[in-house]
Amino acid sequence: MKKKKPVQKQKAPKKPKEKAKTKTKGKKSVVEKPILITIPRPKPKYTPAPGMEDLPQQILGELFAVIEAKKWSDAKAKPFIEKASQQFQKNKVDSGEAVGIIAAQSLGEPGTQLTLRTKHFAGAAEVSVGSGIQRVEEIVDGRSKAKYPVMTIHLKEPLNKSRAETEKFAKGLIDVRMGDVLKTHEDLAENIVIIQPLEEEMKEKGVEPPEILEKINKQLGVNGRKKKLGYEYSFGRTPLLKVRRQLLKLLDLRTKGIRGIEKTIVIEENNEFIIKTSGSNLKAILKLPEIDLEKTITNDVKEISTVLGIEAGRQAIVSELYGTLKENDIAIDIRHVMLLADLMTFSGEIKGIVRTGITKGKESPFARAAFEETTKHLLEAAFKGEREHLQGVVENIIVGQPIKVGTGRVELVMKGKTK
Amino acid sequence: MLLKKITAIEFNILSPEDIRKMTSMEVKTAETYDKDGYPMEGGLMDPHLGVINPGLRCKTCGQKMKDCPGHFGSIELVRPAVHSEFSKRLEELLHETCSQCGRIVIAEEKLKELTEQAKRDPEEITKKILTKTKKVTKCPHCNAARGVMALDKPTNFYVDKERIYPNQVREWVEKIPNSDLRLLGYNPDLVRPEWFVLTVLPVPPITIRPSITLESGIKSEDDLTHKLVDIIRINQRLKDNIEAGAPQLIIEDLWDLLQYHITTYFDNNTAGVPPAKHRSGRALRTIVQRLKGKKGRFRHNLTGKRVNFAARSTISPDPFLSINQVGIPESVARELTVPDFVTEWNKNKIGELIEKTDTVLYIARPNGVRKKVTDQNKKEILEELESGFKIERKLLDDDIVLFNRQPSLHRLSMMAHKAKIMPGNTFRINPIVCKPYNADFDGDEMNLHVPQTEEGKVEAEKLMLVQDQILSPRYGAPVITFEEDGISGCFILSLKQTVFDKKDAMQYLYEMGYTELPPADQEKKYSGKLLFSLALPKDFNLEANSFTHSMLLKTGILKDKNNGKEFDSIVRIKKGRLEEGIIDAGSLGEARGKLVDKLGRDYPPKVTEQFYDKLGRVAIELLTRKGLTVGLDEYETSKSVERIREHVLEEVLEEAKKLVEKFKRGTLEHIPGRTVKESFEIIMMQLGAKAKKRVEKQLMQEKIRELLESKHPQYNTMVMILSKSRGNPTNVTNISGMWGQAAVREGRPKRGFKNRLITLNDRNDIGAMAGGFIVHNFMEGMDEKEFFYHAMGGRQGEVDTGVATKVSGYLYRRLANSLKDLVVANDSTVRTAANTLIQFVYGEDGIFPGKANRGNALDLENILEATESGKK
Repeated sequence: MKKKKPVQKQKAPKKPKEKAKTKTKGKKSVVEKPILITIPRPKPKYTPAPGMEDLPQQILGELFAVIEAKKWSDAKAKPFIEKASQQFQKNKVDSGEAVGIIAAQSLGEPGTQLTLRTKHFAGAAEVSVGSGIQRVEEIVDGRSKAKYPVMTIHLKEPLNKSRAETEKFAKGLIDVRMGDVLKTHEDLAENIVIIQPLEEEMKEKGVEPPEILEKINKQLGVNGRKKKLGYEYSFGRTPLLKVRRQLLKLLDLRTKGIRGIEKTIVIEENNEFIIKTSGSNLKAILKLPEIDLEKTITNDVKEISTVLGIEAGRQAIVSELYGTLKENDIAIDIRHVMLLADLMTFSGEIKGIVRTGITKGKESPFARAAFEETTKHLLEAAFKGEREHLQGVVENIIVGQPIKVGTGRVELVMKGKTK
Repeated sequence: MLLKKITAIEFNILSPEDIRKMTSMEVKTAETYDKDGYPMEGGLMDPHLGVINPGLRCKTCGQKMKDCPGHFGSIELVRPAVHSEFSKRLEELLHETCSQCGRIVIAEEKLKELTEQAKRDPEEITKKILTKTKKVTKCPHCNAARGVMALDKPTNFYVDKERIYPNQVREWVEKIPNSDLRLLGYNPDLVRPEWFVLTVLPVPPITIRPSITLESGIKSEDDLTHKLVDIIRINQRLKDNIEAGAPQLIIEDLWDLLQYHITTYFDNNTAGVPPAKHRSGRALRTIVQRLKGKKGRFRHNLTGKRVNFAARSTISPDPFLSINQVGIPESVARELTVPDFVTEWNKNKIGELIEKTDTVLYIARPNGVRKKVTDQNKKEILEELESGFKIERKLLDDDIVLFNRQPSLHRLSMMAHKAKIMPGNTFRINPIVCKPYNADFDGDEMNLHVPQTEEGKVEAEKLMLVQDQILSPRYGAPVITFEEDGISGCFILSLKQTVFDKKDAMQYLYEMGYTELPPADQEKKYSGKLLFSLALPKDFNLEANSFTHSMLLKTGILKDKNNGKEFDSIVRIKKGRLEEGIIDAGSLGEARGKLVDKLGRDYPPKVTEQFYDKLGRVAIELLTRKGLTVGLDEYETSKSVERIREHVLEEVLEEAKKLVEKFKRGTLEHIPGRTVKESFEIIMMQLGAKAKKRVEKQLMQEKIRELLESKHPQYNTMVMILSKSRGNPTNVTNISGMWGQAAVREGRPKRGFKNRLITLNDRNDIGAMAGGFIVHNFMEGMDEKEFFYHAMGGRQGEVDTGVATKVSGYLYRRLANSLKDLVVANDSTVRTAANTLIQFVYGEDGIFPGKANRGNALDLENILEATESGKK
């Protein structure tokens, strides 16, 4: 076990890199054959002194930074490192610590402090995102769709320095359907449809009229004749129902942009212009060449996990949840959030903290019955001939035995008096 | 100690043979008691089924009430009935199998293939079989034709729209061979599907359905007994009718009635079946209802248990108690007892207790014989007392007790205290521990538990004592710390202006527990800072900005953030002496208090406890003498503020007017992505907020100067705000500045009457004054419109808290339920109850948040300081 630990620890800071690589892979695969990328395990930068093999690389880095700054010799640095190592050992979790319960308490206790408000971006911008308790619930439930999906898009170098360029690009992303720029009038008796392009809307949304016309002709299979109101399409003897269907299909046809992106707004942040969108489509956006793959992100946790994999999904849960709690001024250690995220993702897919998620996968019929749908679980246990092994907390409480957590994990024997 | 341990519990379904085997008697009569009130032989209250009267003996096992667990009986059903909870399973089976040969209606080769696949994913195959077989019209095994199966919920089966009765269903599923059942997800060694159709019904023991004798002498039966009576009665009627050769129609009707009673006996809320009612019209609480939900067996009785050795009373504050103590009324201490072992080492002490006090209530010899200690037998007992005896004594000072306040939202809601027996009737705690309990003294009640075993006592003392809970496991910074008056008191104490003469200083020192006078630091006078320093450990160093400092910077009174001299706003502590700085929430507050944070982390808990105890007393004493009250004069609006306000108001109204005009003309520029109307609302909202900010700034500047520069500061509102013990600048602005824009759902209140918010406004007026802008303050009072605007915002807050508690309560329950089994295993991995691996190393570095330095594994600054000082 001792040997295994450092490997795991190095993995943690490596994660963002890993993510970036996957993204590049996704993009390239369109043109090239998919390449299997093996990421070389970074060599440990710092060689730990004996007795402090436990210290993670990151902490070693911090320690050595101090030593370098102070220009200490090895001998001088020794007591410093020793003290650090001592403190590290002192601060470690005790085995048997009920970390799960503490994490649940840390998230649940301040729950009432969470507000119900919806937060608005950058004071007056249009993109709003659910924050407060609804947002926390949404993440924790592992729902397949976020209620207010928002993407934060970073562009590559020269592009992101100019507001005009960024705005132009942002405008191009908006999903515009035919119905947004066209108005239709139907003449049922003659079986004629008049389609009127709305010039103002077209201009605002950046759609070119000739392009549109072509698409309309193609979709309807008839060429229109220009009339006073707009373009007239005659369908002759085609049944009404068919015309209707085609028309609806036409109006739903995308003229430009990316599916799902409803609105965009450009914000200046840290000397660069970034795009916030309402509506999210990570997969399609990441395929665009102008995008900075490493920074672009969506707030839809499920989407991240399907596009970038479960590790990225875990990271997304951590950062989204932690961010939301911080916004609400709730102090919480990130380890609690990580534990929750790990529990939600360890099976390889995001499972919500709901009766159909984590609880469903529990082995113990008592644990399931005590949570929700009592009779259903008892009957199921009965006809499947399940066995209750009494390993968890509630199970043992139910039968009246000590729980196997904390001091309940160990047996205490008093030493007799020695004469 | 555990003598017997349950390792596993197996679930399965009772077969008719099982039921008959475990039966103590067959219940045949519907009557429960005879005319004289004795239980009927062969009835539902037959003493063979267990005893509920103390003193009587069970006729089956011969034991008394305490020892007899009760015994099942049974009812032989004349005609079989479907167990309604399993009818869905039966339906599936009928879909999947042939009525003639009982095989799954899938060809033999294919079945073999499926058997092979089922080894990998049995559940998937089970599902697959169901979808495949549903539409098969001919059995591939025996070529019998198959009809269309249907279930009329909950219990009626049809084949080709013709009813098949439970006995036919039973015969059908009986034919299914074991090998096929395995494929369908059953374990035929434990469960056979024909058992889903009941031929014999188990009758639960009387202990499960006790009857209650009312005061009037009338016996009232349990709901289950009522239901069983119904079943027996109909069963009997059915039997009589069959024997008498009644027409088929009548028999079928009775059969259905029997089925109805059995269905509701299991679940009285089955869809499609009218719930069975009690005579009074109340629906009966049958088996499913007993188990289900918050008040059901599982959540109410099995996961929540009642305990002995507990007490509950109102709490009240007592700053003279240590944070580790709890004041317990004598009347409570008398009732709650603690067992103690007599050993060689404490024999004399216990002997003394018995002799001189009435603390010891019982003694017990090693063989378990208990004796009450009375004045008469004291001498006798003293003589025979020796090690190995056990005593039961009253609660004494310094006994460990657990103290708890509901809702128990986190582990700090239940902590261990040391008992302090006091007169009075309330539990008393140091107000500092209110925070973790979330308690106040407006009538809150709390619970007290007395651990009864040595293990329990030691565990409570070592792990749960208040002093060890100071750092929060949530964020790794102090939670148990001064609040409200504690902070206000320290603030005043540490003000430059606070100086005491010898007499006063002596009094304060006495409160802190000092009996010697330190040398005066200001020509025969003693500064508050000096007193404060005494509470600190001698080697304590700290340099930190006070909260006051940040307020000074925010209001613009102080321009240079490093200038702490002017207002004494940077805290500097050297070698345990407060050299300069005001002590406020920046030093003492929850989660952000730098001083308590350092104290809690670097020193043993005992030191922090003493710091709190000493300082708490001075702070309270100071406030008691000085008085922390506010008066109306504090809120009088000064001329300069008045001027600013009028000026600001004029500007706002002017600008709002312009905006309205622009909006109406349609020339208002809209914020990208927003409609013009939305933009207008947002801008109006911001306008109001800006106006209030300006008034607030002026007001704060004046008030802060007033407090810090005057020789005898007297305005306590500002004491509270500057020390951050209570209230904030907005509160003062609301009282003596202006209220500003009322907000509902992040915007101007908008829902109301047609084209206007309230009827006091003109129609279509969208200006500031018609949209919730409040120019007055609480001192002046609001006008009619403003009153309503204000109420709108107030109501939203009220509703929101209500909704938030509900939502977060359920969220918490789910979180707790799914996270509760996660534990750090012995190899430092995190695992579930079933030993599934969740994390290799807890939190990526194995550091516990409660010990970490605000989330950081190490406190580098501290280590650096320690090494450097160690070197010098």
